Amino acid sequence: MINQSENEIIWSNDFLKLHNIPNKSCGLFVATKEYIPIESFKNAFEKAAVFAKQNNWQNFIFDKRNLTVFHQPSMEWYYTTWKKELASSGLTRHFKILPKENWFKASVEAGKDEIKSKYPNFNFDAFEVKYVDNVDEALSQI
Amino acid sequence: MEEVQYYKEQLSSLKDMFSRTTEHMQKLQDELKIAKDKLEATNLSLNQSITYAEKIQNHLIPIKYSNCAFSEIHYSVIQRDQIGGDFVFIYEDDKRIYFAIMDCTGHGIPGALLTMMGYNFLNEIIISNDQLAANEILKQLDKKFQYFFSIKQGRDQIRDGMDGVLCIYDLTSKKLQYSMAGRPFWAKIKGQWFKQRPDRNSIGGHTISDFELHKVDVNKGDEIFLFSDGLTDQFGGENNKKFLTKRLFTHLNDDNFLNLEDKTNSLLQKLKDWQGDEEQTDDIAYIAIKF
Repeated sequence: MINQSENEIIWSNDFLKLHNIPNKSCGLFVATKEYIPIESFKNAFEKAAVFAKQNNWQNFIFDKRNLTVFHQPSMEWYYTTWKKELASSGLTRHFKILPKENWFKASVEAGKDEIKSKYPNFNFDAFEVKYVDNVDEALSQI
Repeated sequence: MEEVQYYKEQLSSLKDMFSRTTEHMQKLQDELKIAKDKLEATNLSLNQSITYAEKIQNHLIPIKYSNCAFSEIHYSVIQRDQIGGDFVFIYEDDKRIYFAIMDCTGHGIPGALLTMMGYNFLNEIIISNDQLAANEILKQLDKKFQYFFSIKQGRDQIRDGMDGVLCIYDLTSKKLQYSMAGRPFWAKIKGQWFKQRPDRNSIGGHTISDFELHKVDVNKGDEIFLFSDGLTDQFGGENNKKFLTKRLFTHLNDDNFLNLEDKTNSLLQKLKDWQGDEEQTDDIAYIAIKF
């Protein structure tokens, strides 16, 4: 059992906590609130990008279980800008932990579908995205 | 960010999320409806096509065949699906009556295609030479299948064909000859059942030896029973087991029936009861003849 508190929290804001899991070359973002405003979201992920490069993260877990609102513009930026930039420095494997609610999962699908139609040349295959139920499950696959 | 502003933004994002998701779900629903309509149209067209194919294949079944040489003749073909791989063949000329039960590889559409081939090959061979012995006919049948499915440029070899028994009754000598390909020959001669196990040859498949010719004298009251393996392979009963030849033979050996028709009708009912709610395992065909 991985105790998240045992992993070093290297950064946080009001909405997200960033952990470093060095033995797995992995970063972990845990959403702590039900909604993250886009500026805080971008700011947090820009910080995470710095740590990712410093620590040579190849894996990234985003635990969204506390979220209830899926913010499409944030997700678009996360996919098309952040993920793309980090892929060039070796971070290509992403694990997502979604809330249990089916409508949230449906909205994620809707969001992905919208990104696909808005960015037809975006290469989704450049990343490996896996949906898991918890952090342990993600870490067991690294 | 002020708390009020935070909740305002959250609410607005929530509304946006619902509207996007609803739109997406509607799009998925529309796509599903299109796919469903397409599937239904394909299904309808396939069903119509198979129903018509069934009409064509049913032309292989002889219509109420009778000949004064037989006091009774009963036959039936019950394909597992609408069309299938079993067929009954009956043909007569001035001197002979040919009858056969044939079970082609597989069932459904491929089985049905093979029955059309098998039936026509058999017809062709018999019409072109009315002197051929039963084993020679099977040999020629085998050659025709082998040739048709032999390796051709750009095509894989197919080892499909059929199993069956072909009998020829000579109207002058009153003698019966037969040859087997993977199916048994059952007869009740002078009140005694005679069950000849088949060799392992298959028409169009693996032939490990020559098709053998067998001859038997038949007299009034003697019976012949030919059947495809679908009859004995039918699953059912209390423990969902095969019907097996043991049950089939017990039924055929029961003399408490009015006549052969009564016996075969009762056999079909018994098989239906055995099958119960199970699906039909394979195509079923039989011929029962009483001299």
